[in-house]
This record gives sequence, structure tokens and C-alpha cells, in this order.
Amino acid sequence: MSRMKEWVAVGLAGMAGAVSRTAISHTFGHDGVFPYATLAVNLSGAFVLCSLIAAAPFKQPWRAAVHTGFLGSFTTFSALSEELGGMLADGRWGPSFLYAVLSAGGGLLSGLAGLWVGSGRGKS
Amino acid sequence: MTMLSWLSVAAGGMIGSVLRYFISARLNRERGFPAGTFAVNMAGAFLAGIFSGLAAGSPAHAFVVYGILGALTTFSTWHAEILVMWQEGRRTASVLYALSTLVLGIVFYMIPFIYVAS
Repeated sequence: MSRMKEWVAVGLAGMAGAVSRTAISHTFGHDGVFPYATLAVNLSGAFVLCSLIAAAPFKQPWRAAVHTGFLGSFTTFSALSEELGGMLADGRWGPSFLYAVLSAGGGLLSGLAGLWVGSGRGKS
Repeated sequence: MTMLSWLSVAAGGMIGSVLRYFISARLNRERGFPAGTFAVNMAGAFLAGIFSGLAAGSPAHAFVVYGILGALTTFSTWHAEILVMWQEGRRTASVLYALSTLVLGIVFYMIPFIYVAS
């Protein structure tokens, strides 16, 4: 039964994550030059997930809901591939390179910052 | 976006996240290669290449691209796994996982275009 709770938790929180991501995409969007919205959701999601992994405040089914459902669905890889692929297909090498570096490098830095904050080392 | 498009995002997001949870539970291994996360991200990139032609913001696009594929794929788990693998001392695997996902994601997205163009 507890497994069933986790499935429901992932589904409902995944719904909220997808709607939140889409709302941010529609508010901040894309100026046609650079996909700021996807970068913002991905970096903030990596930070929050890593801080929660380090701090471990949730037990199941909340852990499945927040980690896998909400944050997994809030952040996205398909949009990143679509945006990078589109930029490369248009021959926009500079922006595509910048976007790849900011996503991958920025994701690692925000994830590291999250692990640091979540493990309590961020406290003075 | 219309109310129908927002409801489509919600329904697709539920389907995509449950599919990812199912596939990750089957394929990801503790202290092994996160094959489940890798599989959903590659499948999502490939399907995004197929469905990116749908009119942006239409209910069909909202359902498939923003909902199902956006939620099926994940960036946060990918990065958390890269960092955990590195911290566990599995550094070569960590770097390979990071680079292969990024590069093959672009390749999988582009395959449908190459197929259509030829």
C-alpha cells in the first residue's frame, strides 16, 4: 500500500511540477535569442534537489512527491535538447555553446551549492 | 494558452512523471549506472524531435511536449546523480554520464530531422 501512495504522490506532484515549469516558460519565455526560462528552472531545480538530498528532511511518500515528482518534472531535459538542437540547426554556434556550458556547468555548480547548504555546512 | 492547454500540461505532466518513476525504479541501480534516468532523457529528446512540429501552445503540443516529455525527462536528477557519482569516487563514470547525456540528447533530438530531410 505504501508503494501505491508513492505512485499517487509522484503523479500529483509531477502534475504540479509540469504546470509550474510551463507557467515560468510563459512568463519569462524566450526572447528568440536565449532560453532563459529553461535555464532558470533547471538550475534552481538542481539546487533544491541537491540540498534536499543532503538534508534529507522527507520520508516516503513525501520524498517521492518532492524529489521525483515535483522537481523531476519541474526540470526538463527534452526542452534543453530541443533548444540546443534548434540553435545548432540554425548555425548559432556561439549561443548554443554558451547555453550548453551554462546548463551543464551551472547545473553542477548549483547542485554543489545545494549539497553544501543542505549538509549544514552553509550555516556559520 | 487556453484553459484546455493548461489542463493538457497537467495531465501530460502526471503521465510523464509516473513513467519516469516506473522506468527509473526498474533500471537505476544503487552505485551503478543510472540507466533509467539516461533512458528517459534520451527517449524524451528523440520524441521532442518528432513532436516539435506541433503548433506551440496548442493543446496537443502542451500535452505532449510541455506535459509528457517535459516531465518524463529530468535535469535535476541527472545533475544530482553526476555529483553523487563523483563524490563516491566514480569519477570517470560521472564525467562520461554527464557528457554522454548532453551530446547524445542533441543527437537523438536531431535524428528525426535528418530522417525527414533525407
